[in-house]
Amino acid sequence: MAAVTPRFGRALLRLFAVQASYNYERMLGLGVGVAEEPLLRGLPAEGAASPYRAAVARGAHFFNSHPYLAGLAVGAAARAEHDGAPAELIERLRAALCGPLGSIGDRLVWAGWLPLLSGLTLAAISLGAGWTAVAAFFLVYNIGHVALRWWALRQGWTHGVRVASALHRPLLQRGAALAGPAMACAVGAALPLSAQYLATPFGAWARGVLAGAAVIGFLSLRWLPGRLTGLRLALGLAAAALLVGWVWR
Amino acid sequence: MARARSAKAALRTRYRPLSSGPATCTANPFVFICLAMRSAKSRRAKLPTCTVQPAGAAACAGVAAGGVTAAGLGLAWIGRLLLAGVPSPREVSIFTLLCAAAVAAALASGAAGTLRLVGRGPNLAWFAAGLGGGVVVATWLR
Repeated sequence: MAAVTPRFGRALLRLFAVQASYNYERMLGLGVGVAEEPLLRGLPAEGAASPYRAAVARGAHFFNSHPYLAGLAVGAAARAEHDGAPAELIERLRAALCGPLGSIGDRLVWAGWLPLLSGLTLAAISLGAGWTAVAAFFLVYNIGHVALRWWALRQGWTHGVRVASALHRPLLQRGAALAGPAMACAVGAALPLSAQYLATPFGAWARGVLAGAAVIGFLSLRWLPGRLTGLRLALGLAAAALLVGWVWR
Repeated sequence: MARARSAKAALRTRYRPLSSGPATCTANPFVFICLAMRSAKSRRAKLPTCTVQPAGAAACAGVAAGGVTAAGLGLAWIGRLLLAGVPSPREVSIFTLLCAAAVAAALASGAAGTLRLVGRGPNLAWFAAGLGGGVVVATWLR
C-alpha cells in the first residue's frame, strides 16, 4: 500500500476506458473492476479464493454512475478492501454510491460543464474567434474532465467507506449549484448570436424563408416531442425546398 | 421471451443493481476482459435485460430508421438532378433555399433542445437573461 502512486496512475488511466465494456447486465461494472485492479495488487493473491481474486471479482459486479465520478467508487472500494472491510459492506457501499454519483455527475457535467462550454464556444465563434474557440473548448473541457476524474479517484482512495463526506464538499455542491444557471445563461446568449452568424451570408428573401422555417420547425418540435426529431425536421424542410424548386419554373 | 419480473420485486433501474443474482466465480481467470464478459454473460443468459421489448417494436424501429435513411438518399438524388450542370440563376436559388432549410432545421433543433435542457425551473430566468444579452449583442453587431 505504500507504493501506491504508480498503481494510482494506472487506475486513473484505466478509468478513461471505464465504458469500454459497457453492457446491460453490469453497466459499468466490468470497467470499474478493471480500473480497480491496480489498486488491489497489494492484497494476498495466492490460491483460488485469495482476497485479491475475491476483491477483483467484487469490483466487476454491477455498477453504474457518471463515468467521470466512477473513480470515487473505485478508490473507495479499493481502500475498503485494503482496510479489511466485510464483503457485504463493500457491496452496499458500491450500491449506495450508484445513485448519488450518477445524479451529481449528470447535473455537474452533462447538464452543466459541457453545455456551458459549448454555448460559450458557439458565442465566441459567432463573434469571430474561429478555430481558436474550438481548440480552447477542447482544452478547457478536458482540463475540467481530467481534474474531476483525478479528484474523484483521490477522494475515494483517501476516504474509503467514509467517502460520502467527499460528496458534501462545498466545492462540489457549489459547482453543481452554479453549473445550471451558468449553462442556461451561456446557451441563451449563444442562440441569437449563432442565428445571426448563420443567417449573415443569405440575402433578404432567403433570410425571411430561414426565419419562417426556423419558427415553424421550433414549434413543431415543441408540439410533437418524440415523434418529430431534428433529423426528420431537416429532411422534411429539405424535401419542401426541393419541391418548391422543382415547381418553380 | 423471458417473463416480466415486475410482480416479484423492484426492477433493476439504471442506478440500482439486481436484488439477487449469481455471484461471480472467483476461480475464473480474468486475464482478458472478453473472458470476464463471456463468464458474466453465460451465467445470466436466462435473465431478461432492461431492453426487452416486444418483437414488433424492434421491427418498427428498424423500418423507421430505414425510412429516414431512404428519404435522405432520395432527397440527395433529387437535389443532384435539380442542381446538376452549370448553375443557372434558378439552380442557385434552389441551392440557397436548400441551405436556408438546413440552417433553419439546425436552429430549430438547437433552440428546442436547449429549452428541453434548461427546463422550467429557476434556470429558465437565467436562460432568458442570456437570450436577452445575446439579442442585444447581435443587434449591436449588425
